[in-house]
Amino acid sequence: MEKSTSQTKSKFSRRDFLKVGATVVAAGAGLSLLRPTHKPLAAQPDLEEATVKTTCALCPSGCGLDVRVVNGKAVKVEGNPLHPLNQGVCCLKGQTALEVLYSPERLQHPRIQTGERGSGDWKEISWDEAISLVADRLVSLRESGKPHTLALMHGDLRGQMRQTVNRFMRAYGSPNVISRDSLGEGAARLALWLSQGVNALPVYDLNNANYVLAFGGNLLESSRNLIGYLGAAAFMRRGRPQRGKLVAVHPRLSLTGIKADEWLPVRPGTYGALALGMANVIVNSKLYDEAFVRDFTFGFEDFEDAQGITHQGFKSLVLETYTLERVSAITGVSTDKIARLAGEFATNRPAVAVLPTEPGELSSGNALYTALAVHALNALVGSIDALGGVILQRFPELAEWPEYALDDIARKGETKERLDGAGTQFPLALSAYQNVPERILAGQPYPLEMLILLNANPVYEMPNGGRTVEALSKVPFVVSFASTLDESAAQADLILPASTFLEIWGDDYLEGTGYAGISLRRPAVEPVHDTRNPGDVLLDLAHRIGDPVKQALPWPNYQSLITNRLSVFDWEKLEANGNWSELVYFNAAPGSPAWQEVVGRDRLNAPKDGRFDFFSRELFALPGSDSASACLPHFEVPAALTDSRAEALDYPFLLVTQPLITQSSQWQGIVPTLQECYGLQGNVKWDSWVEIGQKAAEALHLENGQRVWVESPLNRVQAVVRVSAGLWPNAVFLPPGQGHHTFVRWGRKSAEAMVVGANPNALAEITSEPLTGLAVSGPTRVRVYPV
Amino acid sequence: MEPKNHHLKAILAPVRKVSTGDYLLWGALLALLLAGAGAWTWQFIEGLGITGMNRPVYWGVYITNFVFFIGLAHSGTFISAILRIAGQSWRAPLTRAAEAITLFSLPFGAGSIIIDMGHPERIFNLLFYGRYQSPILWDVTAVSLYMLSSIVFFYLSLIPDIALCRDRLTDAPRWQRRMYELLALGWNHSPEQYQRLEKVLDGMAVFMTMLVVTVHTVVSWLFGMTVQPGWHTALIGPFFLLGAILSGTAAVVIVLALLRKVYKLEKVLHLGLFNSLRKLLITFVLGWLYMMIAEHLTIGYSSMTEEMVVLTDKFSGTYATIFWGMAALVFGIPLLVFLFKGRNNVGWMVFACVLVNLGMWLERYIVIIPTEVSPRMLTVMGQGSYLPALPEILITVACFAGMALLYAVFTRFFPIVPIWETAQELPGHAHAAQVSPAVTGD
Amino acid sequence: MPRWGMVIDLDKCFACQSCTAACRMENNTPPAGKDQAGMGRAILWNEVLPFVEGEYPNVKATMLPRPCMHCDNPACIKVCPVQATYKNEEGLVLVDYDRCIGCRMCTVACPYAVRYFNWFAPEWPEDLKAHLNPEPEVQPRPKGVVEKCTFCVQRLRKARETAEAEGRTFQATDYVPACVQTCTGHARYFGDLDDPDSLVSKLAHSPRAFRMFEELGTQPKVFYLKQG
Ligand SMILES: Nc1nc2c(c(=O)[nH]1)N[C@H]1C(S)=C(S)[C@@H](COP(=O)(O)OP(=O)(O)OC[C@H]3O[C@@H](n4cnc5c(=O)[nH]c(N)nc54)[C@H](O)[C@@H]3O)O[C@H]1N2
Ligand SMILES: Nc1nc2c(c(=O)[nH]1)N[C@H]1C(S)=C(S)[C@@H](COP(=O)(O)OP(=O)(O)OC[C@H]3O[C@@H](n4cnc5c(=O)[nH]c(N)nc54)[C@H](O)[C@@H]3O)O[C@H]1N2
Ligand code: SF4
Ligand code: SF4
Ligand code: SF4
Ligand code: SF4
Ligand code: SF4
Ligand SMILES: [Mo]
Repeated sequence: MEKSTSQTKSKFSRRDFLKVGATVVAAGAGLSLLRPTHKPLAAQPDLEEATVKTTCALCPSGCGLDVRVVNGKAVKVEGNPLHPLNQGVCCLKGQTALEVLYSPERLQHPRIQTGERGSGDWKEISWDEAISLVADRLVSLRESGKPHTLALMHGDLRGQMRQTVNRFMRAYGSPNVISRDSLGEGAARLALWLSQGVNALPVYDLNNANYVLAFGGNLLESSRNLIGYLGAAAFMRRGRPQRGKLVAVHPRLSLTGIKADEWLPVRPGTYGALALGMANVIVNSKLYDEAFVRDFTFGFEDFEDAQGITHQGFKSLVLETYTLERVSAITGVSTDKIARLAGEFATNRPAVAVLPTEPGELSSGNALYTALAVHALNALVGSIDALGGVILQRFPELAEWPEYALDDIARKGETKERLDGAGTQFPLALSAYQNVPERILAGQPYPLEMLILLNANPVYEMPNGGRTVEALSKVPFVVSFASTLDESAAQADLILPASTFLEIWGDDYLEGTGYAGISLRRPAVEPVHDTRNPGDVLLDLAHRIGDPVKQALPWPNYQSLITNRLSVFDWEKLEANGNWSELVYFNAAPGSPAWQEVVGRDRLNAPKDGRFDFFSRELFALPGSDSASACLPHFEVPAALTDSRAEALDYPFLLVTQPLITQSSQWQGIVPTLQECYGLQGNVKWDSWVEIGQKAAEALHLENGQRVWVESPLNRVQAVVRVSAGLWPNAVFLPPGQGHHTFVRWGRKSAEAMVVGANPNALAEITSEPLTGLAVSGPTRVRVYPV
Repeated sequence: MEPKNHHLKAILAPVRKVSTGDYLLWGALLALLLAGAGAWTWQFIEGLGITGMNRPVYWGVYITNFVFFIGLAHSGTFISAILRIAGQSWRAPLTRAAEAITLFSLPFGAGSIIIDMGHPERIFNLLFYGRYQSPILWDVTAVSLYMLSSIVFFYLSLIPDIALCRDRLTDAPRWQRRMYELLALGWNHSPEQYQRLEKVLDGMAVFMTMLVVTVHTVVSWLFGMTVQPGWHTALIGPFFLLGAILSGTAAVVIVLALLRKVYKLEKVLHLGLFNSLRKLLITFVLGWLYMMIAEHLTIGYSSMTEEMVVLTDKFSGTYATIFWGMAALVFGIPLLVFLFKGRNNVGWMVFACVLVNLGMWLERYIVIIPTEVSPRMLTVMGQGSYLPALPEILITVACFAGMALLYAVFTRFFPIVPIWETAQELPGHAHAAQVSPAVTGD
Repeated sequence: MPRWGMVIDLDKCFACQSCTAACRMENNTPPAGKDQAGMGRAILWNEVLPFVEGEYPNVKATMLPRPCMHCDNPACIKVCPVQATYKNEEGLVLVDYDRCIGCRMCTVACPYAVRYFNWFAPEWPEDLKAHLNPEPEVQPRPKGVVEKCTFCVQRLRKARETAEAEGRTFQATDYVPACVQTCTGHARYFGDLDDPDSLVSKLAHSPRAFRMFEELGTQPKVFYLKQG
């Protein structure tokens, strides 16, 4: 690993060490009470120490890390004090990154599956063979004029990786870059676009907020900007004169709920109704920001459109439809509680309503409108890009990407329908990850010839993985970049094992700060195994395929791509600090020129008039959207809640789940220390637990520690019971992230792999919201009975 | 001239021959002992992890055995020393049988501590770095002192009889005769010798009595000195002590019964002894009950939270069965038996005494484990649990086997009834006969 | 001589367990694995312990990160027969792994359950050994001995060396334990309790400050600040 200014080298001579030993002995000696001597410490070989600044990739926060490297081995991870997000701290996932780097579960060479798919007969091959295999396939596909029959499914892609993948696929001629967003942040992204007119994820300025109303139980555990929010929440309480209030709205008393100032239990899947009920109170008692609503929003009052048709506005909608009584009945929250919270929210400004960046397991078929309803609260109190409100992440200008011209093949491919139906089957969707298996099985819109998995494990992460396995087996050639033999990789023909983020060059946009910034990722150690950076592999492929792909990605390796793209910064400083950022966020004053950037910027079919849409003109512009309520935030009762068919009654509980902080968003299951911290609330290690309410437990005669089946109409999984006082009466909680089949081999003298815990996804059915293509997978109804 | 004891033949009879039956018995016991040794080696190599112990139950049956065997040991000293001081001459015939129990259970008591250590090979750190603030060191000192003085006490009272063996058992194998010769230290039954011996023994008896009290109190402080709920009481000392004496005395009854059956000593170890022991046992059982109530009432009445956790766990929780079972075994059944069936009936006495000792073992267990299972952190860590694992069981069995083995072997080479103490005429003590209960035997 | 102590502000602590993980990575405590962890034999010097009470919907939960309290009057030292556990003159309560006889009297005596026994020899899969901290103080402990939080003594030593190497006098603030450094809520404070001007001693005297099981008279040097 080559030298750099960021590496503080300190050499220890043997003599130093003896000195050390001596001092310690002396210390020991002076101190112990009766008998001095506590044995001297063994002197130790010279240490070659270095600190490498890089960027964590174990969750979307992207903290700056200082990796302590001794004699070429990474031995400790700390937060980078010069990083604006984590300012020197580092969460437990970052702390255990080295257990990922040196994990015995990692794949060490490229390998090809010689037997049946999933047969597990693997043959290790060289990188050159492996890449040729893929290149040849790609070239022949392209030559046969079917580049669009290649698809790439990807999870979190950091920094330049997203563009690299997009350019690769576009130049190659395939529209099928399928992001996992539809499982995740999709709902929030859409909600922001349809109301505020920006295609972005919301960022919450907790540092300056006085009142934080968090919908969803995971703000301080697994939210996208985890580290930023943890620091901010602490600052909100003790860092400034006025102590802010944090309220957690969630069916379960999560850690966030415990640490919040108030926990508001609510019936699963009914956030939307609650938000609208609160809006009702705020409007009714005129507690909203009248000036802002009058001058900078659209569709608050009833209005007449161009055709002279009058439309209901947000105001009358909430006043008529979302009365306290009705909302209370839907959500199970008492009317006075709703009223009190609404009042507090509106009168303790700056206040912000936090919507989960993803609907989680309870994606209830109403995720979009739920998110719209929650975000509407922010508009009511004028918290749009205001201090202590919802702000937008800015991004830095980097060096230009090189121009490239599509050839006919690529141009033809580009026009083809997307495999996942985004834009066609689902007009508003950017991607519909969960729809891929069904489409493949149906051979629609065309048979898929080749599939690439990049940081994606669809078999595990999506409900009903069985279907996904079937689908994969129908694809002639499946390539996975997995670093471990995960459930999907096990179904692939070829695995090109990715290096971990500690072994590669890369970058990460600063997210969660608001202001623009970039964080550098550089190798802390030489690759531990014969693995490569997927970026390097893509560039290599680009060269072998030739133009236009080569044109789009002309760099010899990913490092030069990064250095080139980031060449706009003072490289010395960038390396020294590990990051660059603007360090200040300028809120856009309503009406100011900057305002155009935060409201309406990305609108396509609606005017960029700097108005926040209560009534979504973007939706209205959609062909065939009936104006009635479809364009306003509203609440649709999830089917599962009203489902009263006999067979439904056999499954009395609603399944709640939500990522835990102890779950690394990649590498789930394989990090021993995370397993040993796993179930803090359940006091469970290396296992799954199911939380069940006190009353329910009594009724079913279930006791703490008992093993039970949690069964849905689809499937059943085992877990150990934890009777919980903090749970919606007819809900049960099962944490995700466990139950990996292919790679957990831990514990004393245990050689063979064992499955640890259970994967709740196995229980859920998954479909897609017709308009948005967002995953719908619940609330799942389950029953619980002893093993 | 040697002491006159017309039971001499009967008493020396067992010493005369080692039957094949004996060899079989010894073999069996030895096998069990070795099994235990094996288990310990395994534990030494692998680590204490192979036991059922865990967090928070850091101590298990090994410590239980420690307390139990030390308790058992009290029988001898109690019978011989305390009763000697009290001038209870009826005790004479059973002193040695009792002292033998002391002698042969102590090693396994002390041994249990070593077996329980994570680093037995570091035992000598106790000498190098020993700290007297630590109850463990109190134990180590007290127990080793106790072991030492018991050996001396036992040996002294044995000398005259060894001399007798030397003179009588002329047909014994050479090595055996040699042994007697050496051990007899040239004893020639002169009156002065006897007078001096009596003096020494009387003196030691006082010292021994004090030791008995100390030792078991100290053992209890292993627990009492911590601040853990259920242990941290002043009564724990006397409570342990009385328990010890109770189980010890019960053990004596069992041993006597066996001896008189197997070695046909009905005449020497006559019913009278059992009846006197019966009276003692009744007193002890009642005393034990009193302590029991005093202890638990104080805790229960004050109802301090973390104390109550442990208490309820014993009374009605996880350990209710063991607890009440223990109460029945130690107190309920035996008392009834002693009162209504025990007199003039060895069978019933033995039955009751076996129950008592089973119960006492459980009592030790129930004092130690529930407290550990519910530490102060209970609310946090969730209740612990503990079940002994195979090595612990093997080693426990081995301890009992080992003790039995030593006893069996000893009785084949030395008279288990003190001939000189039960003699009708003792050099220098013309009147020994009158007080010797041996007469009332026939 | 400084008297090292810690303050944990429960109002800023979000029970993220980063301290727990940091402690393991810094001090080479071995992963226990499913079975051993199931027996409660996992070794995590700094656990976050949940106290939950009450009935739905009125639940009161407290999350208590718990390092060794480094008591001024430690129950553990009192009972140790060979003085394998001792308090140094800076108030750190340490264990001499070469002397401990593994009698577990201290584990039984410590009211805070912070002492961990090595039931087996520690084990790491071969690959994983690469990341072990090379400092001599934290070499993997042998089986059969007790170990616990040391306030990261090795860091104290290194801080002194660095100060010396850089030719300046050692400051209390140079010494930061791993869990304190990584605390995501900036909820942990560390320093010299005897220095009236140090942040820790100020916080330790705040009206929000309390110590665990104060009534036992162990005099912990870890203080907590009440939430809210
Ligand atoms: N530690 C950890 N951190 C992670 C991850 C991880 O695996 N582990 N994953 C990362 C990834 S990939 C993502 S996508 C993010 C996801 O993290 P988040 O974006 O915060 O999503 P979830 O954690 O699933 O929590 C979503 C919350 O929304 C609530 N909710 C349920 N149904 C609905 C609904 O219909 N509408 C609305 N508005 N809310 C609903 C749920 O109760 C849940 O608490 O976290 C990232 N961070
Ligand atoms: N019950 C429940 N299920 C959920 C969710 C939920 O909230 N609840 N959330 C959903 C969401 S939003 C998400 S994002 C998913 C996350 O769940 P997963 O799909 O498990 O995502 P990860 O585990 O983050 O990463 C996928 C795979 O990428 C591989 N991998 C890890 N690191 C690397 C790397 O550096 N390079 C390469 N090439 N591969 C790597 C790993 O083998 C991993 O199995 O779970 C989804 N499923
Ligand atoms: S896992 Fe996320 S929060 Fe934790 S250190 Fe890495 S980036 Fe930061
Ligand atoms: S790291 Fe800090 S915030 Fe997280 S649990 Fe530990 S003390 Fe609490
Ligand atoms: S907390 Fe326990 S281990 Fe730590 S010093 Fe106090 S008594 Fe000893
Ligand atoms: S286990 Fe070790 S440290 Fe603890 S008391 Fe025994 S010898 Fe001392
Ligand atoms: S001070 Fe060091 S040893 Fe103690 S808990 Fe924190 S990290 Fe672990
Ligand atoms: Mo996600």
